Amino acid sequence: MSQNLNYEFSEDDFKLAHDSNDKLMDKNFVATSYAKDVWTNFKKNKGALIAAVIIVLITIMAIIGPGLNEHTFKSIITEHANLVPRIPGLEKLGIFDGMRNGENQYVAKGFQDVYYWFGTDALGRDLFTRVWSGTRISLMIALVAVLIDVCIGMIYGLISGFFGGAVDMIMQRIAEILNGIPTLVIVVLFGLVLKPGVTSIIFALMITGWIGMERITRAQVLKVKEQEYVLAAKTLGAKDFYIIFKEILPNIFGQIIIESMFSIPNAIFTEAYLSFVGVGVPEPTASLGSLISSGYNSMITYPHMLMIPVVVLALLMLSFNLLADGLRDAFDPKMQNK
Amino acid sequence: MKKLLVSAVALAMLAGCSSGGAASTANTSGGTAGKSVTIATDTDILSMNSSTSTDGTSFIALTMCEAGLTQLDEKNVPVSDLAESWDVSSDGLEYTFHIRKDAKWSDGTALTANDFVYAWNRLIDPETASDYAFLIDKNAESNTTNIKDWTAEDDQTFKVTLSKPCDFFLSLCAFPSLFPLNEKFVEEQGDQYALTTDNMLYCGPYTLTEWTPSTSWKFVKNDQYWDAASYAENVDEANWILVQGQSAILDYQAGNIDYVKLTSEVIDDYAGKEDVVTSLTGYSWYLSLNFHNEALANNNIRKAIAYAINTDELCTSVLKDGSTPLEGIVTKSTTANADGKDFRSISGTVVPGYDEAKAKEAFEAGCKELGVDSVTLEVLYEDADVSKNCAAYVMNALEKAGFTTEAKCEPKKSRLQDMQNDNYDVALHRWGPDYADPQTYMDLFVTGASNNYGHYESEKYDSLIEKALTTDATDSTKRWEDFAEAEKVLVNEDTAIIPLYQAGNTALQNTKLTGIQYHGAGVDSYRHMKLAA
Amino acid sequence: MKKYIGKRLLISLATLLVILLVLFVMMDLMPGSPFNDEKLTEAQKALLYAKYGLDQPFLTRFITYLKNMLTGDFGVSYAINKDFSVSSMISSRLWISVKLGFMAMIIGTILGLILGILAALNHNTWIDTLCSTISVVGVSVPSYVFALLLCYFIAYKLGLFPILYNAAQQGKSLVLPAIALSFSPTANIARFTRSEMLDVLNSDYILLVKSKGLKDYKVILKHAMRNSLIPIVTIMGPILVGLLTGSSVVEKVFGIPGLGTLLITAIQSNDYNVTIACAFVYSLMYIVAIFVVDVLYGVIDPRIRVAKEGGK
Repeated sequence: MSQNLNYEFSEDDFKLAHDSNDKLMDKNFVATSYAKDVWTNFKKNKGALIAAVIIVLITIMAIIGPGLNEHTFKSIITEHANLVPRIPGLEKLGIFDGMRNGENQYVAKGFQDVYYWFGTDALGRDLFTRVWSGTRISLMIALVAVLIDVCIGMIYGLISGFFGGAVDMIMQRIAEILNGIPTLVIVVLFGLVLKPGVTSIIFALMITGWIGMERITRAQVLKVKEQEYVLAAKTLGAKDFYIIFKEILPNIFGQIIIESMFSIPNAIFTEAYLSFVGVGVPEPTASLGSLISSGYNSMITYPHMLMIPVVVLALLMLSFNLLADGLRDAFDPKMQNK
Repeated sequence: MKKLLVSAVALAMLAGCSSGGAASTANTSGGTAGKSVTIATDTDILSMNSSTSTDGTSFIALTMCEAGLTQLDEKNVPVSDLAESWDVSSDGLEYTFHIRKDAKWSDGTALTANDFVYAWNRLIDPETASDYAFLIDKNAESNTTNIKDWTAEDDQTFKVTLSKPCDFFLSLCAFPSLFPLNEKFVEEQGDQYALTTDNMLYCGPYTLTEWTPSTSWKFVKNDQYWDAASYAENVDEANWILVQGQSAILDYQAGNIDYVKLTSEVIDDYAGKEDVVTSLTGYSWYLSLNFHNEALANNNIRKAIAYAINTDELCTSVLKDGSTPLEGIVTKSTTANADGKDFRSISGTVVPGYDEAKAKEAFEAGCKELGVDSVTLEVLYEDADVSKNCAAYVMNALEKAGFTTEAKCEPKKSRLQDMQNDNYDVALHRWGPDYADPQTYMDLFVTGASNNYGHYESEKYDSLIEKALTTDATDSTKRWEDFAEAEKVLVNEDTAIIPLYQAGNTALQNTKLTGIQYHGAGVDSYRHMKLAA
Repeated sequence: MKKYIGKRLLISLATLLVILLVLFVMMDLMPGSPFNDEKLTEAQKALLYAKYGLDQPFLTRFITYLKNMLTGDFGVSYAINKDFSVSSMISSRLWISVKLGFMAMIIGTILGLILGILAALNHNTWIDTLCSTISVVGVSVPSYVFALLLCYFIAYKLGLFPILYNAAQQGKSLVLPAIALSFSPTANIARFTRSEMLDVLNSDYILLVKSKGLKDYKVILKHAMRNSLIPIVTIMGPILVGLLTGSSVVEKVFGIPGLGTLLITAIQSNDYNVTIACAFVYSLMYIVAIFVVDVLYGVIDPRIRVAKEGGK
């Protein structure tokens, strides 16, 4: 009834909004993988890069170092006891020249042609060989312990965080109980039940070491599990374990790697502490910890016995920490533009 | 000479401005007048209860503030203490001690023969479960001193009867386990006895006035002691502090400590200094071999071990603390017979001795007999620094002779447990003498003895010991000859154990401090300490 | 809130009980005995076992122990200071250890915060690297090495502090040990502060405040600090407990009669009662720390409280 009905559209009633020939073009980036992203970011961090190089170098030395001279880690030459470091070539520069209190120890004892690069210990064992074989043991303990940590801690954290509720509550209490018992008690007990030594240290580190990893994983899971893609997977009927390992795990893997980087130095350090307390590796095996704790006994008289393993330990710790920091920054896209 | 100078320079550098010796010691005494010394020790007092204490530090503390029938003088000879004098019957079976009339407890009550009766009864009471009950346990099948009974004839007369003579009985009377106890006081205190300074009575030259367990303890003079007058010149106050290691040595150099042990790691820099004192303890360190191990049951294999270890080098280059190689299982300057002769001078050197070629030879011969190519031994040692170095040295020596070694390091109690459980091959073990007679060592290896961890069984050895304790018991000379013969069987013929070294003790001691007496078998005595002005 | 605390408290108590049980089982598994002295006969050992009730079945012992514990009686020491009451042994040492721990914690927190904030503000510059390096060196070198260095240079050479622990000058003689101990918390707190600060500084609300034109330092102080401090509070409890357990080596160097040394001696001498009591005290501290942190967290950050109360 309205007269509007009679309205007729004319040609020019509609016009294109953008009548120009402008085209919206997507900018094209070269597709980069997540790993490559991380690597690019990581490369920017000089400190972390140097740290990685140092770790590689120390690892190489730990592998080949003990074989670089004629001594073994357990061969005792008592006449050569307590010698300070002497390195051919460098001795001309006035460092590592075998001098102690203004006197060349080697010459005084009649060993003109003897060179101990890192000196010797109280029994006359070559410290160069012992330091590197000690590094080997310490790294091995750390790696094995951390590997197991990651496995146990990660899975524990994933399950606890994902299922929540009563499962989470019970699992967290168990973790709390394990963490609540002093590590020393656990290690000593392991040392007494098993044979004291590398195995019992690794076991003891395993029992308590994974809790840090478990915490981080759980916190990450809690953060991630409410995300849309998890919800989507759930809605599509994915099974719990599929979600945990295929949806959640890849998204928190960065954090897990970082945490494992931090737990390596922790493991090395715990081993050193246990050696000092007297439940470390047995003689004549050397670890960084046992070298430090026996070097400590002559710290004031022969500081080299302590300083060299301490420097190696400090370098390792420093490098792993810087590497972990660098990795964290590289994994976290938020950090990039800062 | 040059070396001495070098170490002097080293020390001077180390010590900075300090003159190397200890300066005045007044700063630890907190301003009290009189002479005071401070001694650093690395072990705690386990118990001040003389019936149950077992360790060296407790014994030293007990000899400071308590006293026995006798005390040992500088030459290990028992002299009068609470007993003014004693009569011994001609057959050596009856001892009558005359207790001093002026012997008093620190609360002023008289000390009588009854206090000894009570203390000795208490020591052997099964309820007390004392480690040293075996010394005088008259109710047991046998006891070390062959004691039969003891009674108080009257307040001043304490009578002891033995079933067989005992050469070392008078020395043993200076041993803290046999110190008197005041019955009334001890019963009053009940299980609180000797837990604090107020919960005990003193009858020695000093009283314990302050005691913080695991930290420090302090003695001051006891004016109730019968011989207080002759102690006038001695230090008025003696402090013990529980510290160890390099920080304690630094504190010595700063002049706050008068006596501190040197560890073998730092000894080099102090060699030749005038304030370094060295003494020998009675501790015998040896390798206990487990005969239940198939390889160790073979005498050639055991011989190989004995030949492989250079105990001279072990003492001079590894231990460095004044330890000396053992010539047999019995330590030297520990035992003395009636003529004052040392057992070692009678028995001589019986250890097979170091010989690398013989070691290899014996090893190969042993392997052939066993029909094996290699022998792997596990060396068990405790987690003390000295043991660590010694174990490393021993293992290296064994490997040189052809053995393969593994190490097992444990706290001492666990090591003992493993040995008791027959769960070891070779163990680095020690024995401290309980009294000044070879018997304290020889008893260990008799078939079936509880401390015969290695299950050594030898009829010859057993019969020699049996002979010494029965037929030759009354003849000191013959008795010792039997022991010497037995030692030879044990250490040389059968190589049942490998004696290593007699532990030494090297310490820094304030040059003004004198009067510390070392008694190989008895308890080191600190009660005569004097401090020059 | 009350309900939340109450529930949390109950859980903590239950956890403690289980820890005690686990400790008990562990001691039971421990080979060796406090009485395996060479000179004791089997009969004497049996008597000692009977005297201290160690011959009873496991459950009986556990229940008796629990009952006694509620009255503050932790039994007596078997092998360290024979027949001394364990509670008196522990209480005197606990205070020294706690004092030392708190001193180290305070030093560590202050230094750690400074290093962490400096590093975060100068992210990826040399200052950042320097701060990280300083803090990492702190954890890389064992504390007993620092302890002996301090002992040698500051106490011995300069004579500023006593070399060994001295009960008469307790405060003064705890300074050096506290410094030696503080290196590790410094590093932990610095690292944590750095990463938390970075997180907050990159968050939207800080960007918003920044874009509104506030001057930088105000932004940092008022907003970033407050928000990054919350998580730091949460790690302080565990760090403090770590300090208390880790102090044994430093105690050894300075001759301090603390709890750490006692635990080690106790373990080595198979002194069950002392070991259990020491370990239990540590566990107690740990559980209390966690409890306090949880509750504090709820107080500081309402979101968590609501989430937790609503959640279950």
